[in-house]
Amino acid sequence: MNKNSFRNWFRFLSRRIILLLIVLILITSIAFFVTRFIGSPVYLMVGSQRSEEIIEAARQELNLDKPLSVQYFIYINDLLHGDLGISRFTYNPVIDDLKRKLPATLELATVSIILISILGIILGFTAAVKRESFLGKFANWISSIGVSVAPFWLALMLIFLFYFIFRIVPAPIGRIDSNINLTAHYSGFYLIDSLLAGNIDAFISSVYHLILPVFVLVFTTTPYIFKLVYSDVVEVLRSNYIQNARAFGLKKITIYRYILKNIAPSLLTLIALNFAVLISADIVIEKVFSWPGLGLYALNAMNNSDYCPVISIALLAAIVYNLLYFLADTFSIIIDPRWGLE
Amino acid sequence: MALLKIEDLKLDIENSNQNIHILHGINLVINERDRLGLVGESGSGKTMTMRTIVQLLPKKAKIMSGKVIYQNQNLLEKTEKEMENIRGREISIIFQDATSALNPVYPIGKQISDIYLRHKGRDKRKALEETVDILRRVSFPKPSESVKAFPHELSGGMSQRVIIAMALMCSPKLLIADEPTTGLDVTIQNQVIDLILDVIKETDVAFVLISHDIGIVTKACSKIAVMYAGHIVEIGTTRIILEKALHPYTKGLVRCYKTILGKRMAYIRGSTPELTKTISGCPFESRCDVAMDICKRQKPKSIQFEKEHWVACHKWSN
Amino acid sequence: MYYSLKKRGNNVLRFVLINYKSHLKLSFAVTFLVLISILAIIAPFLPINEPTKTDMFNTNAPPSHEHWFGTDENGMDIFSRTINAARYDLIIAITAVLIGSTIGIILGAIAGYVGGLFENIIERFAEMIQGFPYILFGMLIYMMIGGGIAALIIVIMVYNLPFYAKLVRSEIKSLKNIPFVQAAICAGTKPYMIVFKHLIPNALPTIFGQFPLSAASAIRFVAALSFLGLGIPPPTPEWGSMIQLGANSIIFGKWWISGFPGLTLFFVVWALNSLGVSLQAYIKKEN
Repeated sequence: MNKNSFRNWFRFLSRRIILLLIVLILITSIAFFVTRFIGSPVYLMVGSQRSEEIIEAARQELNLDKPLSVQYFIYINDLLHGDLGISRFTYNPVIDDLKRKLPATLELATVSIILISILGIILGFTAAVKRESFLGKFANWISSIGVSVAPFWLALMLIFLFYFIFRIVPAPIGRIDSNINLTAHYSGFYLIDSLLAGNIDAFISSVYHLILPVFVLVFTTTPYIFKLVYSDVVEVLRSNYIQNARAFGLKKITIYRYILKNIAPSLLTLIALNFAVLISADIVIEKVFSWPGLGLYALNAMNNSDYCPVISIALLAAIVYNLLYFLADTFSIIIDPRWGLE
Repeated sequence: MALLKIEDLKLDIENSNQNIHILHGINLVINERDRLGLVGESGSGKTMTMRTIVQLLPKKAKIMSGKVIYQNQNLLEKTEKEMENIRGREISIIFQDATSALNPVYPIGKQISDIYLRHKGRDKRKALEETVDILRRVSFPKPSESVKAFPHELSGGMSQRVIIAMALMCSPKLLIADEPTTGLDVTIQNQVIDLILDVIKETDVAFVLISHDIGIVTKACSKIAVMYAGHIVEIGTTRIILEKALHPYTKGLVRCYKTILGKRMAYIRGSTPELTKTISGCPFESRCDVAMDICKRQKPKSIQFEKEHWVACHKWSN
Repeated sequence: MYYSLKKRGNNVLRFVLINYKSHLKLSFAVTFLVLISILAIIAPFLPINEPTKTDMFNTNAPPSHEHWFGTDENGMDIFSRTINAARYDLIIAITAVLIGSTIGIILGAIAGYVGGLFENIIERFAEMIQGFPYILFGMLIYMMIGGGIAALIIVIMVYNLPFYAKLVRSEIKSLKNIPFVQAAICAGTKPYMIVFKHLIPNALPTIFGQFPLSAASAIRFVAALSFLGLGIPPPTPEWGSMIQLGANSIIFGKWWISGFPGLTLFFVVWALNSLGVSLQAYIKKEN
């Protein structure tokens, strides 16, 4: 890398990082103002029927009697120390709850995004290269169904079909059969932990419980990847440099490699975005399958008028989204040098 | 020694309701060390003829009949895999727009090396050496540093050099250049042609230059084949074509060229015939000043008028 | 290429009529949409069971001659509820999309025309909104102002805004350089006239193609939020909440409570998506 391109890199990265920080600050500030607007926070924490003294005491403890700017600083300070408040119905610090629930959502999201990416790329490539084939037309048709169907309804129908009628998947009550004891806790991912502990029963049970939720997520999300890959590959195939590569006798595999690198930046960004969505917006799926993750936690909190967890998860979602977008962007410039020249 | 022979090649393009006749029985011989120019208007079939050799035709193109004999084998009968081995290694073809012909996400060194690795072995270090060497041969400035450059950092002329380097990397026996200078500045045009001629000077490569610009062709080629509406109407050395052309179309072309030099505009009246209609007579008949009766009814066969001079015209077939 | 709005409307109609036979899927989609819209409008006058009338002797009954789609746990007739739900969903979707898109279009047009810092700010805001999961956003709104139609409309509106802003912005940017517009600028036309009279109308075809898709996603939003209890509260019929009601009965085999509303929801969304995609392809070809 010569001196000039290093300077370009530095400029590009620093600009992106600064933007990221600005967005994060904005988001946390908005979250702060939202919390101050949700009815009266005191009443939410303590109930509105208490005596004046208790309300006043609560107010002092929550720092609500101090001026707004001071509250803001206390808020930011707490945030940086990982203090997100206390959940009203679990009586735990929110941060602890989040740490406990995160692996469940993460496992579901990770398994899904891997399958989505692989499936989307393969289908997109095949459909683009062999346009008139049966697979191409079928993939197009299936993807239009995948985007239109409501994931929660699909999940319910599949449960009905495969649990009630066919009895080949377990009941939708969580990540693992209740009679199986998994004590190992290395990563929080049941798939990995059970393998590491040599507990094959646990592994098989986890897989079974993952099948249906993962299928629904894959079915409803793959179409987006597929469509992008399809349209990008079609465009690249028409380009001059692919024609030239063929003219020089390069093998098909080499040409596929060429095509893949060309579509990689936008593909990577889309996958990153979808991954962020899967992590933070899977509430409906978690509800249907009683999956003990972040989404279910947020839902229960909301139903109990407990706003700390909800705000925290919203914050987390925004952070995750921006972080992943930033990562995808950074990798894109490594792959395609034109990406950074705006 | 004949390197490649095209025998009676007929090519159609299948449209929804009718066939478009592109080539009507092309006969062409390319020898080792030839500098052959293929001239004609747009749509005369020059590109299609050369593309048929390497079988890089559009999906709807159909070869109706004919052979392309290379090294005692008919290329038209080869499978796609076999052709992949020939392209870039034995026969190289380069096209018009150089900058868009390079993959924007790979440095040029890698793109050139990929061709070496494809055809000549897996040694990456050797590939890099050969890449730097070929870049030097095409007068690319600072070859060992430039291998890391990306296509969008290059100018049009530089990109064209890279394409030429890629084409000559594996020392092919036949190099076909399809309008390599169209769209470039005039000064760059001459540079590119001089470069190609320079690089192939010491080798055995046969070179075919396709162009509608007869000026470039006369400068670069020793032999010229003139095409009209899918037929080859005349073949001769450059001198013969310029001074002793026989076919009325060739004469018209040369006249246009010479008047450009003399700054007066000449033209050939009429326009090219529609390609969907099957023409029973000579395709140039409607625009020909010396057309005879037989020209309407019968297609003229190509006859050898003198040494290194063939023409397909009824006027001269006796 | 710059039609008047009337002529463009005629073109769309002609397009539909001409292509009816040749594009089966699209024709089916349009027919279905028209049908369900009509049903939705005349629903109260149809001679079917009342959607909120409970029949406690007949709860959780499978489809029968009396109740075509069966009944739910409150004994309410699912068929009539499904049809009536269409009214709410369609109206909410259309209203929210219209409002959101209007604001988005105006913002996007100004951003595209003026450019500079304003455009940058709008772009960053749009990105932020788009990145935020709508369900969480719905939850926040719910906690602030409760559920119901107002909350739904706010969520859909805010969510559609960046979409249209971005779309219009890129359209305006490319339209800005067309000689037609340059001439108007040279003639001294005031900026707001240029934007509203020339730029926006010419960007409209592209925007029209987006409407069905936005409506489709809006309906999905409403259903998802209602499913979680954040949207339209029962007993008002709404596909999402109906699915939720039937969710607990699924494992006991009572598929019709969630099945029929969800199926209808699917068809409506799918029809709108097909319409939107075909419209976009048609508009692209016209250009």
